[in-house]
Amino acid sequence: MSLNYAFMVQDIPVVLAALPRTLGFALCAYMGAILLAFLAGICILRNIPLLKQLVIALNTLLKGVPLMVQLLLCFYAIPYLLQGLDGFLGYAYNPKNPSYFAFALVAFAFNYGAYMTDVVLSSYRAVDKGQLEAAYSVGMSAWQGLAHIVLPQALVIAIPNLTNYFIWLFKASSLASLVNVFELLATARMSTANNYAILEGYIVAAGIYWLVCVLAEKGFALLDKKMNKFRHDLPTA
Amino acid sequence: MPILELKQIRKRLGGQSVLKGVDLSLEEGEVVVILGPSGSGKTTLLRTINFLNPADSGTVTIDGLSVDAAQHHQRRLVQQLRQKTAMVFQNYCLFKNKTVLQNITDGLTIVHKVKKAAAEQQALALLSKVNLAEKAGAYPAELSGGQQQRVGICRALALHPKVILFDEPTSALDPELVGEVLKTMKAVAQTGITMLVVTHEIAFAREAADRVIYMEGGQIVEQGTPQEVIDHPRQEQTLRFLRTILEDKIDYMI
Repeated sequence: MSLNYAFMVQDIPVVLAALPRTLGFALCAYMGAILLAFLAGICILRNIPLLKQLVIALNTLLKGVPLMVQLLLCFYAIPYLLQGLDGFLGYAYNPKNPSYFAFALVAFAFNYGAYMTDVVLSSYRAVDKGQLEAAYSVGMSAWQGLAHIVLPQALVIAIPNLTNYFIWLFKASSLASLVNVFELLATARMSTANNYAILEGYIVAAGIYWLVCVLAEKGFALLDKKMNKFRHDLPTA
Repeated sequence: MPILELKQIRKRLGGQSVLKGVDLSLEEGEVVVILGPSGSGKTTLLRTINFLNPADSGTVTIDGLSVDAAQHHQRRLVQQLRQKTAMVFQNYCLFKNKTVLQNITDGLTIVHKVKKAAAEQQALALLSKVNLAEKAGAYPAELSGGQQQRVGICRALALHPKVILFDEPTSALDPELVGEVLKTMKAVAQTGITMLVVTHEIAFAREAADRVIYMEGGQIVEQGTPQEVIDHPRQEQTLRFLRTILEDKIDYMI
């Protein structure tokens, strides 16, 4: 087996061109997931009567169905939903140009949001209860205590998990290639459409994914070290 | 008018009655020590004062502000009451993500909107008094237990509260560090601030307290001056407790 190295080298910039889009996709989905996880966490921790049960049920569903299947569901179902909303509050449904990018984003945000809800819960619970009590004892309100003392500590505790989920999500974005999103993997496949260098195309894609993940991990390690400086005794990543 | 007044404080925990209608009043400037066996409700009583564990029924009045236990959901009111107090915790509970200086200034800058420079000045003055000024930039994780507790006391003092609540401040400390904290507490007592201290340190009670209260089974059994309660207890329960604490150090009899 001999690889077409010339093609691989020439293919790199072609595939790299899709990286900004893919990173943008991953970041938006990630931030959406964090927002959803935060909201879900509030519903559960504050014991909000109806919402808590709803959130738990939804999370069970989102964690119980494979992401690929959820992507396909969104791919087919969201257009129907949007069609139903046609005319509602001035929204005009355009069947000619559905934003597959957005549909996939929604699926990713909800799926990862369900898993990250557990990160939110566990990292909040890991903060010593005495910290909030001390905040109260100096006269802080609940909001002040959470914002200044508890949530910063919870965030630091959550960083290793949050790092993992970002890297996971970035790699899983390759699934979006199967629902009409022209991200990294889709671009790599298309670049080998006119020749037989299919394996070479996949190797280039793999290399780029790997590089981004290594850089992300290094970046998070630095962030982790900086944010943990008040803990003094604990070894960091 | 007493600076702190508790009326008929009752609390049940896990099906058991932990506080059975406690009445207590403190005058301004008084240093009161509460003694008692574990389970007597003394820590629970302390925590009902600043509503960390609100009572089931009863009223807490501090400096004229009265809050009934039933009002514990009224956040603003409870916060106002809390701002008249400060607490020193058994486990220090310093803000782990803040420096020593920030631990003391946070209450001032965040709650009372004091300017940062003025707050830092006050904080450094307090730290100097406890010989910890050079640790101002350190994080709590870098300090010993005794140092953390002294910072905790500074944090409480910075707020100029009407009454400082001490919840077994030396119980979590290594014996050799207890002394420095007690010394700090005695100095605080000298400044004339009202203190309510739950502790096992009988010597501190004898030397610094204006009044000693003995609690058992959720009720105040006996109270009086340290000489009255510790040296000449009138109740059998008090005597029994003191015997177990002081063991072979007793050289008196009623």
